[in-house]
Amino acid sequence: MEKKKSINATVIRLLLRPSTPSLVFSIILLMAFSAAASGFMTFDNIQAILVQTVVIGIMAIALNFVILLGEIDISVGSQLAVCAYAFGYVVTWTDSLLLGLLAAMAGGGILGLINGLLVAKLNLSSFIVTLATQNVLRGILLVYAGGGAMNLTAEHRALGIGTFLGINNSVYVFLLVFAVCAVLSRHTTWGRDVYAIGGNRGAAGMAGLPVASTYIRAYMLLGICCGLTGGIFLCQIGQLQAAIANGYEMRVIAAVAIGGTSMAGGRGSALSPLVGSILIGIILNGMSVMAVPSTFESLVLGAIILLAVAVDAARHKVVDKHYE
Amino acid sequence: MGTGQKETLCEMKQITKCFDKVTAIKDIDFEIYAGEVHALMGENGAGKSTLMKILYGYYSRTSGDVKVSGKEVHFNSTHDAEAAGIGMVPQEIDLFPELTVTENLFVGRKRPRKRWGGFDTGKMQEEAREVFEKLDVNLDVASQVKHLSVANCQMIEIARALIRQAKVIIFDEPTASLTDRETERLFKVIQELKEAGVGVVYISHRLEEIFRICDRITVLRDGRWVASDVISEFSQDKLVKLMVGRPLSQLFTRGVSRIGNTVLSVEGLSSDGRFSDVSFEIREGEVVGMAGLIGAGRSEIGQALFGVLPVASGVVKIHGKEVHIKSPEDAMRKKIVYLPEERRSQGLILPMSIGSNISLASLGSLTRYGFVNFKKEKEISDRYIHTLSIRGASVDKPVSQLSGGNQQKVVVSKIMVREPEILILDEPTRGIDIGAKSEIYKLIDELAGQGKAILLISSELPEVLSMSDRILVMHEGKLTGEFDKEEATQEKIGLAASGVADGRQIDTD
Repeated sequence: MEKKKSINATVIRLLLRPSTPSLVFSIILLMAFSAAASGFMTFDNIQAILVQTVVIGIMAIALNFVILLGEIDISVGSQLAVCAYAFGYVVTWTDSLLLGLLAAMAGGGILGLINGLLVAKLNLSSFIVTLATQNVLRGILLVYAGGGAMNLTAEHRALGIGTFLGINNSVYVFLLVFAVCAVLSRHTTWGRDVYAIGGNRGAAGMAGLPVASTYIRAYMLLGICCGLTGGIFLCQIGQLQAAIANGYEMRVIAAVAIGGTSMAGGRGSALSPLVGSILIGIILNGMSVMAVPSTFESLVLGAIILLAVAVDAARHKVVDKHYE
Repeated sequence: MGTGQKETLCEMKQITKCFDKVTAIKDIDFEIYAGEVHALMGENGAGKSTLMKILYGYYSRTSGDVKVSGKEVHFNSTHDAEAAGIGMVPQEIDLFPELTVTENLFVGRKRPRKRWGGFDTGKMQEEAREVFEKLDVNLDVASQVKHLSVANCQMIEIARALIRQAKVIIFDEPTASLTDRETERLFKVIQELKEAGVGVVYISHRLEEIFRICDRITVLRDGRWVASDVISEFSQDKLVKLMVGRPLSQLFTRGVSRIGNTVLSVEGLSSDGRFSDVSFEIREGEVVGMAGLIGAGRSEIGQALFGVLPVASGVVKIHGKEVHIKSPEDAMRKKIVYLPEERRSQGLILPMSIGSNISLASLGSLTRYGFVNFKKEKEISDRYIHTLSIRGASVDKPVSQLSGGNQQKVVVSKIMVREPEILILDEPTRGIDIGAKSEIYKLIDELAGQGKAILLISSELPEVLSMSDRILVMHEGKLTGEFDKEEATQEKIGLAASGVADGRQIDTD
């Protein structure tokens, strides 16, 4: 009896964590895929999953804060593309990876600042603002870069193809960004303010929290991360076209949502986007390992998103019942 | 009863309504005759709205009978009530702003159709025009509701009820946001409804209106029936006495607090459309109560002092130095805190834990090198959970699990952590049980003892009377009374709050 109760409490506590369902789901999928395809559970393939996840994952980790605030940014794909170009130019011009990254991140920070100012200071709908900036940024690229492609020579692609201790460099960056953002989320006033404002903006204002600056910082952080991923993206691919990363915003948003962060804001954790993006990575990779035609990609992803929200709704019911 | 030959449209007998375990109203009798205007009176929270929401099918009753035209009814929704001939003009007009006047009248009703199946807009507008003609109101039935004034929106609500052939129409504080001329027009319409045999229930706090247009009065107090009679049996004084006249239950006896220098002084403070020319002072160790009806502008003053609402003119001084408070952040830096009226929407971050809610407003001071010091945060949260005896709680539990009283204590803790000098408490005990109430009273008393300056905004007169050193009364955005603790009575405050008598009595010293 005693024991049963304590097991129940543990289960409930686990269920309380927003990323539990997708974590469980990831593990089930990992087992299923490795049973179904012998080439799945290998060091190289697991690394491939992570490398594939880096770009979506880093953006998702940063977008998580914006979504926790109860807002959205659908311009991340365009931000990434613009920053990737900035990165490419600066690296080619200065021959320095570091300067290129700094330029891309600074550029991303400015794009984020613009989004943030429009949303926080003018009180505009974040969906519309970022829909507009998404198109404006993409439009600028199309006008200036046109149909031509930009290439990056192999010696400048350390961030995408270089390894350290046998693991791709970008994976380290991914984990570092996650660690930094997790600390920001858990241990700083800003991180706490994000939850508070997303949970109840009115009460947060009444408590004297700096609502506008919290918004702006979240968008700037997202912009900087888009800049970083712009660099990684170009290093991974080696070649740029004006249409790159088109439609990425939906995958990034999906990663955050699947991970268990509420689209209404205020509920979620720093772990959500990490788990969500890796889950998407596992699915896409598993499908290719099992030779499922890539035409099924959209169908499967869509189904997974529906499943994720259904499971999350069920989770909430269980949790609410427990507290009744 | 003098109204013997009149037809009884609606009869409510022994109505009781409980929310969870709290009894909101108990054993109330109420009836409405054809062609009368029946005033329903009582203080805030006396149960008027609850009773009328039962009649309008918004709440279901716990026990009692409701008969409409002699037939026992059970309404499951407002739709049922409307079908039975009950209409309501709510205090907060609830129309669809983007739809036209005509569309609003037909929402939830069968719309006439043309032969090919589409809506017959012409016929709908014709019907709408007829109703407004009957009301003698000139309105463009094709215009969007969002362009109309509050008064005209009210007319649409009345028309909505009439188009459904309502026999009883309930008006909940209809004149609260009307100008004098609009009020006159409303009275004319009510007079016409009366002549057409409609039974009108009229809820208002304005005594002069009641005596002008009503035929009968029913008074409620604390959820109980107190009196019902024809208007000629009442005088204004008697009515106020009936409304507030509960024996002054000694809720709490204040300890001694030494009143010192002026901490906060407000001179000629105005905010457009909210309040005007408000002046008062609060001294060290003083609790200044602020009484008045809902909508009198009390919360607005509190929020303006806290930097939430803009100030148009006037001077605010703290310790004699003029200050300009631009935002809540700013106010808190100047040691002013505000306990909001709406606990759930303005006070709490429901998804967060108890501890995070307590430390919410002061996290900045709990950080080192930008990182939150969890140990210190937990210490502070634990301390307040202990001092305010927030029960059933550990710091990391979600705040949503707590009862109302304990939630309120969390909000109080949150503002206390800032170590304020000036506290603005807006309805600090609303909707919480007696136990939690007295604990909050004890805290207020202690804070005053420590020399804090406290503005206590409250709609509960006994609370204001027992807790305050001085009492300010507001009516429609203006201060209409100021009383010393010794001279204040429920009657005096009630009169000043209704705007009947200018109760301003300045201290002799």
